[in-house]
Amino acid sequence: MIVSKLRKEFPFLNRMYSTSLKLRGTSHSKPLAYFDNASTTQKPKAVIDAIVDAYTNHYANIHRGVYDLSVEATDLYEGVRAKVAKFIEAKSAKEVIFTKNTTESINLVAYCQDRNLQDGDEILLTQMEHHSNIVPWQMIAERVKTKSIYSSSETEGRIEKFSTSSNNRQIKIKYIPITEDGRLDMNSLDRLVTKKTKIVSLTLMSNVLGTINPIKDIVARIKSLGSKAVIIVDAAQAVGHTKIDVSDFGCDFLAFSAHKMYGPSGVGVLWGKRELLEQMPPFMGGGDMILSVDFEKTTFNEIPWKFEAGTPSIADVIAFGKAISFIEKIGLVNIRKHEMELTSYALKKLSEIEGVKIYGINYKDRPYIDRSERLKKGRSLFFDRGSVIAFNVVGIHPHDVASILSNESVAIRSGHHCAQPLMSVLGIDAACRVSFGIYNTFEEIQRLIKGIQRVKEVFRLTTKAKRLTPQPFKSVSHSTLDFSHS
Amino acid sequence: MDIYREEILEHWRSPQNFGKLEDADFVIDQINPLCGDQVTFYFKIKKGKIGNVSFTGKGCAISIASASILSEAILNKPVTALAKITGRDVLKMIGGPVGPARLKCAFLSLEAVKKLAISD
Repeated sequence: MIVSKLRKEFPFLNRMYSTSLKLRGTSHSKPLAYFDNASTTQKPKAVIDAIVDAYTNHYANIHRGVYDLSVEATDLYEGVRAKVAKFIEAKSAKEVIFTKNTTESINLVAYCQDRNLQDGDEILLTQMEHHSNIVPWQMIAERVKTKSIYSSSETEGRIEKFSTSSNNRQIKIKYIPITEDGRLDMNSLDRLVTKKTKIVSLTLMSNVLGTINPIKDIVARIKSLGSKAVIIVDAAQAVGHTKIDVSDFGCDFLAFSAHKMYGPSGVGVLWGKRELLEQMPPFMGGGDMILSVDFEKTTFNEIPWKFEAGTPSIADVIAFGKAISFIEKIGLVNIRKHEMELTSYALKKLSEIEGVKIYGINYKDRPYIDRSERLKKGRSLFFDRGSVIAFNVVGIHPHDVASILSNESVAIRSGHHCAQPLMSVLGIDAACRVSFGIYNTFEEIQRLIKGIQRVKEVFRLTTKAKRLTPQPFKSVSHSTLDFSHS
Repeated sequence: MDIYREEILEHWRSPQNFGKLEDADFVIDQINPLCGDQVTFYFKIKKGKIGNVSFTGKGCAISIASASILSEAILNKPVTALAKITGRDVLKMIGGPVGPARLKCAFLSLEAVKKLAISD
């Protein structure tokens, strides 16, 4: 993989950025060193062109028209479904549902698990989940407290009236703890998985620590404990960086977004085992998800369309197909190799800066090995980690770090990364995060390192480091929950 | 003007009016959902004026410095005057602009202070 050649395929690198803050002695114009790939990736020309091409040459609504253009758009759209199925090793394209994003995919599963939850049941999550894999479950637990269960005849494809007997169902949410180096505490599974565990939902890769969880082992362990829990995998961070193989993982559902794998925003995927999808009630009602509707009742469409009410993001789905081709052309093995070389270099360089604290799997016990050495040892060296690094410059708030780096045209993320529960486990309020994609270079990481030195200069940390005493976090008097965190 | 200039950093290092006010009449929390940063403002009211003010909390240089500067600015001011303070005023006080991404940091304390004006 030749990165310089690859970078030519990304038009965002053509834009030059100049300083925005007026800081002592900074003035330049550089392409952005974009290190927020865990949030969303930039788009290659092939994907951007595909959106234009879809709207220009192949656009009509799908599944409806009998005219040629509509058939053509339908074929392109459904072609991508088949492509996704192959990309994640699904048995059938019918198991692939297009949503808006990972969040919607998880919400879809959560919403439809409603009637499988009985009083006293448990949902098992992990301490390293993104808010999108916590809040939907909290909401569903709250909702089933008072709401009655769907009547069973609805599985035959007919909406019956809701059962009027309201039974109070208390659902407990438990969390798999993390170890000090940011891995899941596998031993806790024996204790946490019980007969009452109906749902296990966990991330394949942490969006903060970069930890890659051994999903296959976890699924096997849960099953060996005799649990029949539905297992959902949030693959948002892993997709496009490492191989997703649903048949190998053994999970029941898997969710991810196109926009984190060089595809367009507005397209998410939910993969689910066919028999489970068929049993599930629809998520949203509307057009395209029905077989027939009369004034009293509706017969639902088959999977996957049962879950795709309304006109989807047609052009974006079509362009998503190009993103998959783009990744396949480079090869996930090559992508992973490049990204982990960057990660290992960045971990080494960051560790060398005094006052930088790295969270998660670091190199204390695993020294940096140069490329030739590592190739000899094999790729498995990095099986437990992806290209996301969370760190703090001790004494400086991550927002200040990010602002000053932004002035150097280096884009990093700062904040709680939509993982406030994890932040509290780590004992911090916020962190800096860098995450690498295929277009990142060693030179860009050097700019990051220089930028962090600059941060320390601006804050005079090299000379005097007088700091605020951290205040213990106190509960805030907000009456409403704010779900707008992103 | 340089937002990370010495004056701002000095407020960050040694914020004015930092700490709890034990005899406060009003205690107001404000949280920044962007990062979870939080300030708590303590107000002692004397004859319709801010007799004493302090704050605690944690945050970035911009939020701590603006809390410090704002607390100095409102001391001895009538409570009714607080409602009239605008974001523009705060930016002027701290010598902004801070860029759109950091406005929430700069205005965190202002939002707390404005709550007093409403609750009073």
